[in-house]
Amino acid sequence: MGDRTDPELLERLRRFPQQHVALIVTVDGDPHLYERAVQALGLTVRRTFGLTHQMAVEGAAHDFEALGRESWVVKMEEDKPVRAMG
Amino acid sequence: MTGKLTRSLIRAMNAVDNQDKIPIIVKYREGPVTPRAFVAGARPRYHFGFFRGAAWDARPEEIAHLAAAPEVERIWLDLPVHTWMDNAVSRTRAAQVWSLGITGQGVRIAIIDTGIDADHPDFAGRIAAGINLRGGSYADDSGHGTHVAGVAAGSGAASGGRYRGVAPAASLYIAKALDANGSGMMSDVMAGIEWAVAQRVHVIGLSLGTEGPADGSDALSQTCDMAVQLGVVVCTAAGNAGPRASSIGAPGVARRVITVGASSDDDKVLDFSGRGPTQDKRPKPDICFPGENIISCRARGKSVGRPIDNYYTEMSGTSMATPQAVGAAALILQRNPGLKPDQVKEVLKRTAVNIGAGPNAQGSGRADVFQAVQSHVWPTLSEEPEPLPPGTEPSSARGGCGQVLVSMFNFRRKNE
Repeated sequence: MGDRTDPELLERLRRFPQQHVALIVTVDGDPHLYERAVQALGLTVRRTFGLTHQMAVEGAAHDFEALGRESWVVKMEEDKPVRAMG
Repeated sequence: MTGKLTRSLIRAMNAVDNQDKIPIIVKYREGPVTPRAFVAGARPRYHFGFFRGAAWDARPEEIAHLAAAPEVERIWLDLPVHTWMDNAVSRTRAAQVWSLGITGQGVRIAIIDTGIDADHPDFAGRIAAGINLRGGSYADDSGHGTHVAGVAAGSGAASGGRYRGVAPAASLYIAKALDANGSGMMSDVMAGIEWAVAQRVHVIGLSLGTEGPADGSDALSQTCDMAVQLGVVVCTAAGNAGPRASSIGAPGVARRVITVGASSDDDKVLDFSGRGPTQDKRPKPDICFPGENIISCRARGKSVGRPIDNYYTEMSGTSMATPQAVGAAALILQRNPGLKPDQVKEVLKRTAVNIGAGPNAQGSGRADVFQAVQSHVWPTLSEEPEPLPPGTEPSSARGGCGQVLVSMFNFRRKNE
């Protein structure tokens, strides 16, 4: 039920339901099995990661709230920006 | 006597005061060497085993005295007075490893960055594969990735070997995950790591990161730890947000990676170098390499850093220190092909030089690549992988490198 998702992130998703967000979603099992279910919620799957059972997903915050209630969602976290260190 | 001195050394001797010391390299003839062939009252900076000689700091008069000794065959001027890539390589003694015939040959290195200038002479014939994780070519729109790749594995061809990378014969695998501004997303980097693992690389370099603090439970750090578990050495930057404590972000905080801080030419941890501990109180970085004024490959048409000429530019940062660790790992693996990533990390840390800055600034110290390559690695490490943080244990579907790769690719084929 996404109970390892940071409560602050969940709160932000509730407070700003129309905001476009990019998250990394950890699922219970092979991520390819859940792609259609994620898309059915109105979200876009950018990438799937076989090594770590994760997906990079984008979409509206309120759609992620619904995703977080799915039993096969282990965790959601921000797909944070990275930058070069030179 | 002057026949034993090189012209550059004579010029240097004429340019300094009598009390100034000049760095020199002395080659000795075969046979016993008496004290008259040493610098009186001084210790050599290095003794060379494969090259019968030693490096000293000596005054002009002392140099003249050395030259008069029959045991001395030749005396060269040692390093130039500026800070160049060749100085960084000398500081960590990587250049001495090359004299053993170890140059990274046969080792596969992945650089996940802004791409590469594939036409640069220093990479000729050694870019084995490349990918742009966002689509299109992996040409370097920034210059950062080209510089990083050159530090790790540039041949120095465009500089007569002067600006050679740490592992100048290694094969390069390039994943472009960052844009022209050096920016990207964690998920793009994760995709680059998975690609590199699928290419069966031996070492991955990540001169990038998020802001700190972090505790290693994030997806990018977890992906790095998974790559290590699958047998790949992963080197990551400590970031440039120092000297603030706990300033290292992901993936520098990952448990099993080699997190690299930046040191100066005189073995001080640079102010900007990211500091530990991690948010869950683990000391980081793991080790330091030189990270100031590093000269390496310049991407054509790009002016990042301080350009030296058409082919080289000078940059500073933990981005520049990290690929030296990548190259060092490559040299170690060529010498000891059976080592696991945790063993490569352990030998680098064990042979590092303590520069007195504490574990959350220097890690184990400034790397000594020659010592690390020569060091005998004892099988003291447990065969069990280090456990992942609580709540992030791998699923039962995972079963080691080969099994995971097979399951990943078999699944992909089903969906094509």
